[in-house]
Amino acid sequence: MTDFDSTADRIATLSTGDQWPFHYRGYGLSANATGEVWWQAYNGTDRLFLEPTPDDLLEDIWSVKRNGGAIRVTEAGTVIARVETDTGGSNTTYETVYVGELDFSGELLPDGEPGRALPVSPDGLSAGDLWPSVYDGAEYSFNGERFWWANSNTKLRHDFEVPLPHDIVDELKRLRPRGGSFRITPAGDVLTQLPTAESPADVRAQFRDLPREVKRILQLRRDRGDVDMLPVYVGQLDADERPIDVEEPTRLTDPLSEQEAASLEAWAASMGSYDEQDLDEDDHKFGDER
Amino acid sequence: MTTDTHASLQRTSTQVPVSGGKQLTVEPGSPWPSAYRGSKYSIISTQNHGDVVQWSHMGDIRAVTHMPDGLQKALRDLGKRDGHGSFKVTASSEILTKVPAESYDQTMESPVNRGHVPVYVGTLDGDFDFSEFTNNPVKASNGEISVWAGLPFDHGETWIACNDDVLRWNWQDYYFESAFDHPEIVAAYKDLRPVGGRLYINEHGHIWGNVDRDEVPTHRQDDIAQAFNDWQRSASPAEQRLVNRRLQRTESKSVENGLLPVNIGHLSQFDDGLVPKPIVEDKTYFNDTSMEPND
Repeated sequence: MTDFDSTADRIATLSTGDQWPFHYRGYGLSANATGEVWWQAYNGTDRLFLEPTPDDLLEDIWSVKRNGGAIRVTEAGTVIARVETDTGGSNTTYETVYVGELDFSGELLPDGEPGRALPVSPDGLSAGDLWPSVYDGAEYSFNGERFWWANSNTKLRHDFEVPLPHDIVDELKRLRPRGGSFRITPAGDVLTQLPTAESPADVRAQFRDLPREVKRILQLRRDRGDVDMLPVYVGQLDADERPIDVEEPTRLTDPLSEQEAASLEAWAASMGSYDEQDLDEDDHKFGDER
Repeated sequence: MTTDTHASLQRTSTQVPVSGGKQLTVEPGSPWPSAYRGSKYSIISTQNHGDVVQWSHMGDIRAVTHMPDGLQKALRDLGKRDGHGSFKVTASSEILTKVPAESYDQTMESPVNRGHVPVYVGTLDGDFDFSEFTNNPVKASNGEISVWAGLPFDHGETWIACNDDVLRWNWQDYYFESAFDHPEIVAAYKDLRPVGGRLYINEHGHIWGNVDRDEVPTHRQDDIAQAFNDWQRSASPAEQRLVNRRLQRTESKSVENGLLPVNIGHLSQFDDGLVPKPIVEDKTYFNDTSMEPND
């Protein structure tokens, strides 16, 4: 019997340093040789330190990156990293490797501001609420019923093998009627961003009510150009709904919309080119034609 | 599908009935001069399973199985990018696909350059099936029925047992009669569903139809109840899900409980084993089918 292992089963067989056979995505963290793990805005200098420090994971990180470096944590809590491959030549190439697993919990602590800690997975949120933590996680996109992961190298869209739960889909469509990107944190929180100008009044009010320091941290966007967006909470994916499996890109044939109406009269007329006989019932009995 | 059996593409010609009491010999790779029909599958590439054959419905239920030998290469050679995309399998195991006209290079007297050209690929040989359920159940004795526990959507050629007791193949607004008469198939179906309606004939020759529990004639009610009980006792979760989905999707105001998919028998048990073959009497069908990339 055919038996296809689940992605989770396959990940469970990986060892630290093994090549990562799935798509590259995740919540961005960094680690250094002295044992700190932090989140950092794109090009930003402010570091938010993950507390408690995942000590076990540090060992795994150091075994693939001796001095630490950037890692990604998938929506299922699997840690992966891009490492240089030993080509010996002038062209540095990278490959993605499996690092380990992270139980994503705790807080992000601004340096020297322990009172301003942000939980990585804030409690008590309803769909559409402002997301009072950093906007990061595995990035996916949707438009209507279509959900995909975009490969940043090839620009190809890889469709989800299994649709997201209906409540998440409905909420995303409600919040982002025209579609867009969203994030899934390693804790399974699904987030998206709304243009500030189009955000519901209560989301803007929630933002205004935040302490100034937190507001400043929320405005540290990993992605440039997103400064006028507010992060909102969409919902929660259960552990068994993660990780997300994606297909190889669907290469559908070109749509017909740009083509003129098909005219197959010529093709229909060309049927005279077949070898023709009188209809014979014996050629059309089950089992006889094979 | 067991691991020690597999299916393969046979690149043999086939006989295709056309109007005027004639039949054409169609070679693999040639345009398909008849109705584009049969069970629908797609070849897709998955990150986890590699290239596989997939059946899916509405994007929320799917099943995958091994690729028949030679099929992907044949589709690629015909101009299907990467050998991916959908294909159909007729009740005579003929594999059909649609190729974008601009990438279809079969030399014809009058080449087509627009739309999606239906093409005959070859015949499917061997045991093409799925591990979680089967589309090729053991044949029952003549007259015995059972719940159809194979694929319940996009599966089999779509025929209609019409009011005038004629079997007609149906796609959109097109209704084409078979080249042959099939009184026994029609009678067997109407015995369970007097109003007639759609029935499906799959690549293994099995015929299944839709039965409205509330409209089953008195003399067959016990048989339907028996079939349902037998199925419930033995159905795997996958088989239960497929049948449940069929019942859900066929629910309506007039059919409160949905239509039960019922296997009414095998082609070899009716009308001397004659396989229904639609005769395309309206050539505009070819225009319309070429507008649809997959159906």
